[in-house]
Amino acid sequence: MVVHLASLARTNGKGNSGMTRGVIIGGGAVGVDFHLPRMLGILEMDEVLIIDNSEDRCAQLASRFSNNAQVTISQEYPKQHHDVSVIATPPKYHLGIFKDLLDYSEKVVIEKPLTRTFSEAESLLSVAEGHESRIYVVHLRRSLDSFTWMKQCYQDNAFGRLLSVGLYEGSIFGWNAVSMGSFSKELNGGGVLMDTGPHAIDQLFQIFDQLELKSAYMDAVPRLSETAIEANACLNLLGDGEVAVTVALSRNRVFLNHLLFRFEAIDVSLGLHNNLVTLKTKSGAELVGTPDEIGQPMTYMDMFDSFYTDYVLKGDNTGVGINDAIKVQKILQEAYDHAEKMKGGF
Amino acid sequence: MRLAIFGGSGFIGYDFVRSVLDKPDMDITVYTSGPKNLSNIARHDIDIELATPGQFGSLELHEDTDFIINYAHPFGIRDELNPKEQIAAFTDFVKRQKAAIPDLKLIHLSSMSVYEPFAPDRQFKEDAVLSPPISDAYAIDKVSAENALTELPDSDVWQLHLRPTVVYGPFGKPWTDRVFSAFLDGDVPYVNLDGRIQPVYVGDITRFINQSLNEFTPGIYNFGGDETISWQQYLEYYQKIAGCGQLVQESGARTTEFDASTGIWTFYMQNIKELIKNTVKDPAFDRMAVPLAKRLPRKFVIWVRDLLVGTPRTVRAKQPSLSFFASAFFAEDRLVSMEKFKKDFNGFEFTTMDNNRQIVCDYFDYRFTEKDFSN
Repeated sequence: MVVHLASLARTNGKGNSGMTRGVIIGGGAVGVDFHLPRMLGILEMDEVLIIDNSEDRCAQLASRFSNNAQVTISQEYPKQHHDVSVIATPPKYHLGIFKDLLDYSEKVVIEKPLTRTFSEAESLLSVAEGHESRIYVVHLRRSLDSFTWMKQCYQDNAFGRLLSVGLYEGSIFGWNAVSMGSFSKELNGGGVLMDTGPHAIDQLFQIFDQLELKSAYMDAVPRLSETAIEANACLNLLGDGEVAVTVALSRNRVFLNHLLFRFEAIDVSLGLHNNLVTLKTKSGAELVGTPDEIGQPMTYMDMFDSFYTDYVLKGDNTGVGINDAIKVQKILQEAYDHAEKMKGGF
Repeated sequence: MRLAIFGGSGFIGYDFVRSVLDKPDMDITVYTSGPKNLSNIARHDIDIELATPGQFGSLELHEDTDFIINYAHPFGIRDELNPKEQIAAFTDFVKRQKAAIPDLKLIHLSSMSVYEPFAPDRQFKEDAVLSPPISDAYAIDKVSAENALTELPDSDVWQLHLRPTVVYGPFGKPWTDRVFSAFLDGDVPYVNLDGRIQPVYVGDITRFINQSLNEFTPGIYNFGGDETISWQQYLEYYQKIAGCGQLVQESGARTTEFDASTGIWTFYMQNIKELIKNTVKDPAFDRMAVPLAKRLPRKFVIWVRDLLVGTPRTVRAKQPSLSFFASAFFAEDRLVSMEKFKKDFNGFEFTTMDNNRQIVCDYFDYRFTEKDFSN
């Protein structure tokens, strides 16, 4: 899909004549490198304030943006009106920050996972009561039209009976994180399942109306550990009460990063990070393409752009609201509560 | 026994850390310079402390620390310190700790790269004059680190330096993952793989260091496996395990050597991806990549970088593995003498690549396939 930004009405803030202000809580790479450019570019905000509780990080950011009058840096949240507020901190802080800024924010964008635990997510939901339509959870991959296409195929029984589903997402961790948050049980609540898990489970919810956890395995079980967090998680789920779904997530294995549907007559593979669809018959014939007319796969950056254009800018959080995110959070929590230690591997 | 492990989240360091996890008499702290490499080590309940070179000045070890084991290497600029300054900061730190903890010992992982440039048929001894070429930053830094540490007072009684050869095994990016990845990408072109090496299994280094904790012998030692094999044999070992891709001998037209007749643009287009990979992934290849990269105009670098990792909405065709293995590097012997080691550690036995085949096979399945390891 090609979005002509100029043709989209600005729905945020005070309209074309007034100043629009945004705030990003959390001056890490996600906030600064991914949210900030889109707030300035797609949302065309006049000013964006970045808040970080680290003095050193604030100094780094102040130096980096010293020539950009639209960006200011602070260690303190000023409790003033912002058209868009982004929460891009480790999940430990999401609930507290959300409580602080909800009353001052027109729209609230929260990085995934919604919170560190399901119980915190329920608290957040309760705080947000009556304001749900203003909240957007960064489930970026909702932008992949291949999942809409697949859902339709599944509902229409287009490929016959669905035998099983496998989601495999893994690569060697190389995220240029600013903090140790991704590896802190205290800050993050867990490892890979809190990292790519929310996206993966959300992608399954785009296909299945219901998911039920049957079993979970991890190479470190945070529940049983002081500090250890998992690099690998394997979840066995039941989709819509009848389809066996395996989810394998890894930070130290190289997977194909796809969602594989095994139908009676054909295998259908959807890219998890792009909108490529691969159809493979039992005889081995293979067709690769995208569901749209352009036939070009989306990149991570495209997904981020689409999240802002299709949801935040339009003011429509269908699919990325907190009620969608809390379903994902419930599966994550159940997995952590019941996970057993993996027996194999390195 | 209390150990302070620097670089314990990397390939060789992590192997050692795992080996001492279940030992009740070991109290370990792993020091790391950043979060990028923590996936493996974060799976364990151990103390991990962030210690960047800029923090060495204020870092103090526990007063009953028995060993510093250093697997870390000063890659690139950290805390605005260049590798030389990082080495100096680490050396000052070690010196200060030794003064505060008189019984402290140091085990330092160096590399056979200190012998660059190697020579045909020559097995380099520990007392060889070390003079790596100026273009070989990795080797120069290895030599500098050894020199700086051994210049500390009485180093010959409290320091053990190991110079491992080609190290392979689980999570070994340079000589295990890279080779598997090359075959998984398709055929692997080469020109001459006759150069000989003495590959050493990572577990052998770990076993030796564990042994040294209890029977410490100071000194500088080469550390190569018992087998002397060619790169051809080494790569074939991996190809058989991967079960895909073939070694394909080429005339030499696709080596990474720059040929002026090709033209800079064509050369760029053909080689930049490999250059980036080289520079980023494997310091041993800096000697090939960095001098070439320096010749390339900056605007072209940025343009090609954008082409490779940036904005175009196109599917990148899978390129044949334009290979490191087509370089002259693999035609050269890289051999070290194990005479001194054998004399002083007579009872230590190295494993063979054949001994380790099953582990490497299992690792391949783990690292590169979607096989279920839950049960």
